[in-house]
Amino acid sequence: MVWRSILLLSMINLLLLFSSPPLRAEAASTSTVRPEFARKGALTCMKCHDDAAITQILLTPHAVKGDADTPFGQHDCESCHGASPEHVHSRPPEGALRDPPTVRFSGPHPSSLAERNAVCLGCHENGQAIHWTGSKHANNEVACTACHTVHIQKDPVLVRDRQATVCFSCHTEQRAQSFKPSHHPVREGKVICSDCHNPHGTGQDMMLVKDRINDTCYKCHAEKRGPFLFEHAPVREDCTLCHNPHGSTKPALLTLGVPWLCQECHDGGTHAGNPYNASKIFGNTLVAPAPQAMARGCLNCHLQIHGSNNPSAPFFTR
Amino acid sequence: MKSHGQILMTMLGSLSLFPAAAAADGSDDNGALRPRNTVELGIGYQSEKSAAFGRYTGQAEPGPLAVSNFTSIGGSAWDSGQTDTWEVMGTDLGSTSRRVSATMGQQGLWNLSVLFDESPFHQSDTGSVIFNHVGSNVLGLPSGVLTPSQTNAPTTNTATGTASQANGYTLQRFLTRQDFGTDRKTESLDGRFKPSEDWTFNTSLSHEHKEGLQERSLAIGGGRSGDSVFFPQPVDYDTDNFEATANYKLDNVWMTFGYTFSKFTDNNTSLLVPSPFTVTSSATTGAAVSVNGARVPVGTLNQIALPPSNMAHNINLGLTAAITPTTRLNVDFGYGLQVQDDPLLPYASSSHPLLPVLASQLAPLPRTTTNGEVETYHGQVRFSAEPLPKLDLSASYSYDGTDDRTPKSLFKSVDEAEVALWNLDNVPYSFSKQTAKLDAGYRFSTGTRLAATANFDDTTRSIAEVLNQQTATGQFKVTQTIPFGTASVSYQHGVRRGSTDQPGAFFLAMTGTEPTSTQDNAPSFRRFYEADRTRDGYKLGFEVSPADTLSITLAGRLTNDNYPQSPLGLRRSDSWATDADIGYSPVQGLTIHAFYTFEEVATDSNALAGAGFSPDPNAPVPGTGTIASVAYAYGYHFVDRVHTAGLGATWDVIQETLKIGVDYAVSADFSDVKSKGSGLFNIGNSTLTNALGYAASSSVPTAMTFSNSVKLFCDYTFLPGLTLRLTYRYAQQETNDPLLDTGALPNVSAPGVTASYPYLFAGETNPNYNVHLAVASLIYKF
Repeated sequence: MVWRSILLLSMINLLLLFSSPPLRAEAASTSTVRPEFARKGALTCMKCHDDAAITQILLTPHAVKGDADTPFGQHDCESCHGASPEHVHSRPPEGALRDPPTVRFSGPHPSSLAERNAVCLGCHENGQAIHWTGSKHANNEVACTACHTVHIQKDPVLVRDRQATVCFSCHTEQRAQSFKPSHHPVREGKVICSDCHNPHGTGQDMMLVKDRINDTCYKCHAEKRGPFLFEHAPVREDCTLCHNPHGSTKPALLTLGVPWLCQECHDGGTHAGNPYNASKIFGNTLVAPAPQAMARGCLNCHLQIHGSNNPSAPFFTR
Repeated sequence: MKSHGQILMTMLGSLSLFPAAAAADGSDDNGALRPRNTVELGIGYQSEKSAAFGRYTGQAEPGPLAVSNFTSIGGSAWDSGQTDTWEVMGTDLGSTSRRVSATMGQQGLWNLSVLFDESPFHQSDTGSVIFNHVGSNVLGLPSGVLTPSQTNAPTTNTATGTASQANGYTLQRFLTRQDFGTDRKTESLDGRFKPSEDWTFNTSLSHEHKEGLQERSLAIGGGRSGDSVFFPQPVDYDTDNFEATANYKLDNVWMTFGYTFSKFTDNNTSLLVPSPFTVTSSATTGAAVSVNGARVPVGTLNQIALPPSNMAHNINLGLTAAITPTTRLNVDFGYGLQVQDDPLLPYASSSHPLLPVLASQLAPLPRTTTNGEVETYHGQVRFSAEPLPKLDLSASYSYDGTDDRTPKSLFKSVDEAEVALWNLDNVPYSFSKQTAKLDAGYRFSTGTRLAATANFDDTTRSIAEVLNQQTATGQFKVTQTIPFGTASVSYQHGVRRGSTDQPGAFFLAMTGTEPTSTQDNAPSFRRFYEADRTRDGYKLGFEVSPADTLSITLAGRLTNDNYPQSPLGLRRSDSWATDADIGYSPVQGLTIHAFYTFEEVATDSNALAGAGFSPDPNAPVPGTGTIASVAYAYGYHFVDRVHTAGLGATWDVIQETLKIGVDYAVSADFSDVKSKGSGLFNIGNSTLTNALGYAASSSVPTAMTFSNSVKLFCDYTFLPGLTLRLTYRYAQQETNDPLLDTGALPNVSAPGVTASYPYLFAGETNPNYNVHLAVASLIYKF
């Protein structure tokens, strides 16, 4: 029943897609006026916009006149800010503001999100960004310039030890998790968010760079890839069933301490079902401490918990 | 939509949280056409040794340290018409987390880059092991351990009166201090070539070598009471990766073709660990044949299979078509092949004293190599469109499959841990997941945006207690423009349902027989990831920027997971988090950023323990019956609470001359494990009757970690291009976790009991530190 509903909704959606006129294309096709760009390009702009925060773009890959694919290989500043003859030529009275440029990425009256992102996507909707439209960030109305700072020589989000700060400005829970005792070295700059996630969207919910969660983990943890002779099913299915990659209060990024994490799946008549409480950790006059509740817990014995290639270790003990 | 305030927050946020990073290019990005070469050289001093403090930075040892960073960026002037570009960068060269990279090329045509990166991982520095020949794949024992009688004589447990199988306490004097940790070194070569407007090719070749020691432990004989001994597992891995991608653009169609190859090589296939104990095997329920009462003397080699070498190939194809300027069709396809064909180890090491006994019962290995092979599939089709202004829609369908094609064989194995024979099949595990998803969002003219998501997925497993599982999730989110910012609220409801639980399915697949009551989970127990679940999630957020100099973000999240069909197992999980961020720049040159986050995760579980259940474990069905107290019923309540706060500020006291700053971060987490017992467990209402309640006597003491770090820095530019940077950092961590602090031998309260426990843990202590770190460096920009 649910499937039928989804299929029906999908068909309605498709009909909508193809029956509606594309707004931007329509606007573009009716425009017959040739844009009027400043004759001297960036030099015109820099007559006024000469402070360092703006002119530093001249040190960036966007400002390479010899590369016809870059903004400065075309119409300099106006490649991104749009042809703005009114802005260039207006002579407002003292104290008044000029007409704004056509596309404004910041300030009190920025252009619409669609207009701003369209500028970037005009060149960058390829390679790693082919999934942008319809991606989680796009659907949540994230502007390209919310993460990217193009007027700086080194865009912080592209610098390893600064990228996480950009991501953490929205993903505050992940920031807090990065301070937990067990964490990937993200704050230390050795692992960065984009090692695992493609913020421009992928075919995965979590915008992972690989097709599956486990394949993403195997990028650095290839020794866990196997396939092993004896597989541990949840390990093969999804690493995040047991690990929180953003940080944990438990060793090895585990979501719960061992032995209790193991007991979420293993219970019953064997030692797996015993209650591992205080008496099992500290012992008392009649009860010995249990090895399952000390040090590495269950892993004291089941050391190859990710899978074993030893024909004598069906229970991951060798 | 991101507000200006959030952009300000991002910029302010970069002030803090990265105390270890000291890149030469610093945080000063102002100054057009400024020098593009920077060199930083300096010295520092660290007060204390700590693996936890220097876990990833390499700053784990006390004493002097060197600071060495450089950056050189060059190329054609922006208006020269040329496109030459190059960049050389080195960071943390004075430590074991160093990184050097160089890139050169012609922008828009080609570039080539090389990289060397070293990443340390200091696992611990307070452990000990009994073994020598550490680092090799055959560990040894100190000569004194091997007594003439070849026994570390079993003694009698004075508390229980039972014979113990080893005496760890007589072995303590042989323990020697051992640091654990690994070091990765990666070299890579990347290239990009764009021969035409339509095609771009990227390729990457890398080699990684990882070596060191991992802390592991194993059980030696003795049945379930297990004699545990910690040992250093050698790590000597090489991983080679090759990746090639071609991007093609044709009018309104973009395509990518990718191939990835990964080859992992473990230079040690196995590890032999000699037993420091004399052990006596005990009865092992479920084993086809056991050899109870046999004695395994000191020095018996236990054979560990180390991670096998393996290879993986992956092909990816992606296509995006712009059907209209606002309509996209995405098609993705991925195929992966993972293979592993390491030779299988013999059933037992040749020194195993029971081999003659077992030889007649051991069959030859069913095959000599693993012949492991897993295929993975990924496919997705997605339509995205804006059919109306301010309306966006997307619909997608995806399929992900994992097919384990490793042959299934019967192994008659010797489980050295329990000195018993098992007849067991290996069980290749395959599964697939289909997902259909619809997203819609509409922004009203009032500044309200309404977004809705419907998600449905279906998981199928080849062997499991729950073979088929469906999850349906719906989510609504409302975002409203408010004065100076935005507010948002969202609600999510998800229902997961599975096929009828088949207790013991895995055991049956391995052994060919139904599990007995002592071999499988208790009746009505459900594994958390297979269990039926209802999830409700709520989110609330505010982002306001009442002035260009002030931004405030408040956020909260609450998630409730219920497992209504799980009388036993994980019953409920509730988590919530709240966050506040403030960025403030009161005057030119002064920026302040502060944040606080609190997170709590609470879960409840029920369980049964005991040797057998009444009635038969598979008889009671969820919702009926009562299990008598022949099984001990009990419950856990887990709570994790984490507070994290930070404050960062920088102040340009004298512009371009003197800058000072402070970063402070504090984190405190508390973990509780509360336990309660009962006489009866009522399946019908999932309650423990006659429950004893959560008692302090049985609950594990709160585990706590408190850490705080403060960093002060000052940049003084005393000559053009020459800056003196002074940095002082203090970092503290206090951990009180009983599981991390067990010592080499169990801490038993009763005198006399300690004399006979057969454990030799690493004896680590909680990773506490109080580290002072002072650094002075000169930065020269030219």
